[in-house]
Amino acid sequence: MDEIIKLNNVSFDYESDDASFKVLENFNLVFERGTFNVILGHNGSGKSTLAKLLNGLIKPASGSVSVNGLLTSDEKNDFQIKKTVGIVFQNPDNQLVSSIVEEDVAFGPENLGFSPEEIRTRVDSALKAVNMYEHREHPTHKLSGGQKQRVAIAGIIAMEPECIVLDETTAMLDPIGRKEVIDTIKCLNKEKNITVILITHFMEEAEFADRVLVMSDGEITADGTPTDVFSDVEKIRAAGLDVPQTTDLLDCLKKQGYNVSSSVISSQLCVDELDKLIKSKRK
Amino acid sequence: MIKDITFGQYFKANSYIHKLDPRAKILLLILLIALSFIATNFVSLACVVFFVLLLMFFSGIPVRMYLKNLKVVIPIIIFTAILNVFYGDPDTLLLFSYWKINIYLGGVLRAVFMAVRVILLIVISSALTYTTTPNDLTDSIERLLKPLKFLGLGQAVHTMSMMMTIALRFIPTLIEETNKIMNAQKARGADIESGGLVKKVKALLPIIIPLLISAVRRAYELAEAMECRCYNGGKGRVRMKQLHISWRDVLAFVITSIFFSGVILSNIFIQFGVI
Amino acid sequence: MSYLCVENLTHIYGVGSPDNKVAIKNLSFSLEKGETLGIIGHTGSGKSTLVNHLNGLIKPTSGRVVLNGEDIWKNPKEIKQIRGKVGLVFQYPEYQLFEETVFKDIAFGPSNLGVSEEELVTTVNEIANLMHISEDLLSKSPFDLSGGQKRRVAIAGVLAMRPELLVLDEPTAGLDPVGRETIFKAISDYKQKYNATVIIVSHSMEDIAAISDKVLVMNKGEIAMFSDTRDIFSRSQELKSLGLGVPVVSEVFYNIKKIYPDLTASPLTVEEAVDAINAYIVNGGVSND
Repeated sequence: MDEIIKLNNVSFDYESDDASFKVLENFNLVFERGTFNVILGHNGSGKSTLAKLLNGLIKPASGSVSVNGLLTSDEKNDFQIKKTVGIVFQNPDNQLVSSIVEEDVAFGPENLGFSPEEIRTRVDSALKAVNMYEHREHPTHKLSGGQKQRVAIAGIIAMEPECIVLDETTAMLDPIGRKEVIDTIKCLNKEKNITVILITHFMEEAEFADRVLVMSDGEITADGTPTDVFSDVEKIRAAGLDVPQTTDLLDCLKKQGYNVSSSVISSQLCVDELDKLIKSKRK
Repeated sequence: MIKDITFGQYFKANSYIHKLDPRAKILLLILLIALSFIATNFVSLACVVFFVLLLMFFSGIPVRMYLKNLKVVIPIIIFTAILNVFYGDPDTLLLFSYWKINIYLGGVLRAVFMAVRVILLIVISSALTYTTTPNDLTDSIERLLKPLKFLGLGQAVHTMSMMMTIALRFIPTLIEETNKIMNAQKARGADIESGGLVKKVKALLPIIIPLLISAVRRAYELAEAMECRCYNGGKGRVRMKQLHISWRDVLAFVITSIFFSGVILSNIFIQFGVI
Repeated sequence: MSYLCVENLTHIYGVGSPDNKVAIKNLSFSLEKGETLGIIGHTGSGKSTLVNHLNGLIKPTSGRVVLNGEDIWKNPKEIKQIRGKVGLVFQYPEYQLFEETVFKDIAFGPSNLGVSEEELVTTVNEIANLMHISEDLLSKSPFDLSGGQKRRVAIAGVLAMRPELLVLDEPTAGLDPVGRETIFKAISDYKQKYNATVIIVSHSMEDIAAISDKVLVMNKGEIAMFSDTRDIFSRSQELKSLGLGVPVVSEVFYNIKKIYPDLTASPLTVEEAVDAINAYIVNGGVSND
């Protein structure tokens, strides 16, 4: 398999004024190129630390993180790695640098020192990819939360990365903004084959993933396809996460002795499952 | 209250002035302000006023936008005018005398000159900020200061311009946040409007502290986001928008220079209303 | 007369200027004491403007807010007292924390209202207890707390004024299930204990369905729907046409009822849905709802 990011025996401590505690310890994980990964975890589960380790924003205390075989701990690789793995953060107001949309998107490529023509091409194509091209000359502060996050994604896309990490990017958005962002990254994954690592606590965003990882107290407690992971409702609850109502409903029925599969997230599949159940009981 | 600030506000239009290179605009602005202070008689001042009226006309900005900015400085204009009226030159014609108050012609002239100059200053700088985006402004200040590189100040110039860019970007965000925090504290019974000075300053703490804390948090998060976008202090940075000097800029300089020499000449040869 | 009456409430931002904007238009509804109202609608539908009127943070352009039979603007000088009676918790309220200690921060509201020192101690302790803020936290700086704790302290700061009408704008945004659970539990405890009326604004239909008696749907500055919760969420087509959803279980039931028209239940929560399916199967295909 083609690995893009590899974490090998990573440990990381969080230092505060009077204490330090382990966030990650002997942590191993590999992300495959081109896949859509969703990491679920409660607040303080270590998922944000994980995100920042992925492009060398923070360095492991021990162990190693490598991107395309390059170690993040080596300063020489810094630009190459940040260019390859981009991060979009949670707060839409705190990651845009410039007051005009296109000038903000240009920030990354400008730092990388491309020619003005090349930057222009990249900015235009990135803005088109997130469907914000018509807003290119607008002031950033007049945009909605979802639009700001799409501009932030464009700012990363303009550096032509191979992988995008979205650290709770949808957490502060309303349902419409969340849908805009999720649709955008689904499209980037499909059409540009960009590896996506989506960190979230909204279960429904895991429905379309190739792989779902559940994180709790610095450890991966579940790892697999959405169907696999959601079949174990207790494990998800134990990780301090929500169980989608569909899964919850079928799981309750299953516990009462009915023969249904609970590894279902979408509402249509849940209807199908209930239909099958009622039909079988009617016979 | 804070919503009324219009300084630094860009007004989108497609005028001749809008199309000028921002660097040229900044240099012309400095020239024009100098001009309004060099003009020492009514003819030369009238020249400058005429020129600024032309500038207003060609900027494509509605006159009410200029008046809006002028409104803010009216008290300052009146105040300086009054001061000038009373501290006039005693060698000139005495116009009015009562008790210890003497008003001389020189004082009145000086008051008129100062008022006109302040108005010109405001109109000229408004013309600049209305026709130039904040980013173009900071960007061209950085470029104009580039020669300082030879003094070893290149990094300082870049840092300053980056700080200005970020400050401009965050002004609307922080204004919005201030309103939010103010509302939240009012909802907890905080009294912001009434009371004496000490009480008022004290009442500001519940607004200023959260605002500062959030600004620090924002700065920290922004720094991380900038790092993720390969920012390393501006080394090797290339701007997407390159600036080009065009025939418009040359023409503007030529016209301004003609006026400039006109003002100088009238200063020398005309003696009417001199101060 | 109802406890809270909103009568023909209209608010126009920038009255008189050419770029004025009608934020809410002719809203009228009423609420009885002790009820819980959920408000849903898109960002920009006028929810925040409505909510800011309830404790007099903004003045209506026309119309009135009547609390306990009295217009809240009857005596503009007394508006501070209204702000004590109507507690308003904004989105992400932890950004308003500012005092040196958690105790002082919670005490800020009531002391502004002139509550005496001794009474403050009792009130703060009582509310801290209710919000699951342990005693050792009270002497800490609010900035040293975790995200969930900060949120609870901020809400406690409003509850400490002992409002009889509690209005919360997205009180659980960004929290995980445990944090959310704690806050909803505390709100319902407060409501029980002080016989308060509660208004909650939320984007989560599941949360609204689980806690509200009535639901108000805002759309483009007007009231699109106002009825009791079960009725609102059984009208999923209407909500969809406004671009809003229903709780996932309601959606599932809406579709399953297309296949089994004799299934009549309209559950709002997973528990209700399980019971409904059970009953339907046990009764051999006849729902007894």
